[in-house]
Amino acid sequence: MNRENKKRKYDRKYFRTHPCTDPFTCKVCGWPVVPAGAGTSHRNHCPNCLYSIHLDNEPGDRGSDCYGRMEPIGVWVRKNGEWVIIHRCIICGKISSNRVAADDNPARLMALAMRPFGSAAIPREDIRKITDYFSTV
Amino acid sequence: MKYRKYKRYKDHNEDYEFEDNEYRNNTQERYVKNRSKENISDSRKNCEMTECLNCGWTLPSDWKGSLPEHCPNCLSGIHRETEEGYECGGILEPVGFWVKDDDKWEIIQRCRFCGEMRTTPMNGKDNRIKVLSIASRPLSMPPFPIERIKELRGIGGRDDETEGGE
Ligand SMILES: [Zn+2]
Ligand SMILES: [Zn+2]
Ligand SMILES: [Zn+2]
Ligand SMILES: [Zn+2]
Repeated sequence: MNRENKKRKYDRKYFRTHPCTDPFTCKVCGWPVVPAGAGTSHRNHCPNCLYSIHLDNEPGDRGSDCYGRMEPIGVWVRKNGEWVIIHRCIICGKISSNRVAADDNPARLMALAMRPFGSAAIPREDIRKITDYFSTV
Repeated sequence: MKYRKYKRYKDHNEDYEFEDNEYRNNTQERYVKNRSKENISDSRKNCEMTECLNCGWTLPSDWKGSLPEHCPNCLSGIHRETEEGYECGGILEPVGFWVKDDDKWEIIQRCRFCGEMRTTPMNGKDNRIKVLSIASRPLSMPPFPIERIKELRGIGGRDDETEGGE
């Protein structure tokens, strides 16, 4: 175990091949994050507020010293139907993605996905025009 | 044409989907042809495009304003250079939207070849049907059964009061 800890400390690529299972407290909302219940071993975001912290340049390398908050800005559905949260660092603007975990707050997730529809950029008028168009085809 | 060795970008999941080699070679070939034609030297011109390699859109002759950064028809772009400065040449596929606090929108694009993500501002010329279809994709494929979750009834519904709140 001791040797393993040493490896973790000095091997920069350790977390690329080894899942990080340490419990941590969310720096944004204070939620205690435990690995149990996530259903995935590569969770990097808080299940309550969905924020992440900018630690990696590339996934798992712990190569960044930015430590900015990473705001969830959107969701992306992969070809296999899996949801991925897209994060953007509020300090440096880096964008990264992380698969949703089983215990992520479902209301927050849905609110994130609904965000475009509550916005003025898609006017109701447009949606009606488009639905009209499709009902006549 | 020789390329530097690509640095592949993966997220935390090992089961990432990458396009097959044939697709990659094709887009790169076309990209290289186009690039030598245009002879882009200015770095600012790096993301401008006059034709779309994804859907075949070409810049109409009556186009006004600056050249688009993404195709207004299918919202795709070309990933010319990665953050580290490597040449890529993959197609940037629209995967989602970022609604900023000032209600301005950015299109989130992901490179089909290297997986890098970037954003580009949306504008009034963009295809609205395509926008709606991308934005609604997550809603049609929820990661959990929506109707079973109590907290979700409050979002966009009116039946909260009538049910008397358990
Ligand atoms: Zn949190
Ligand atoms: Zn950052
Ligand atoms: Zn196009
Ligand atoms: Zn790329």
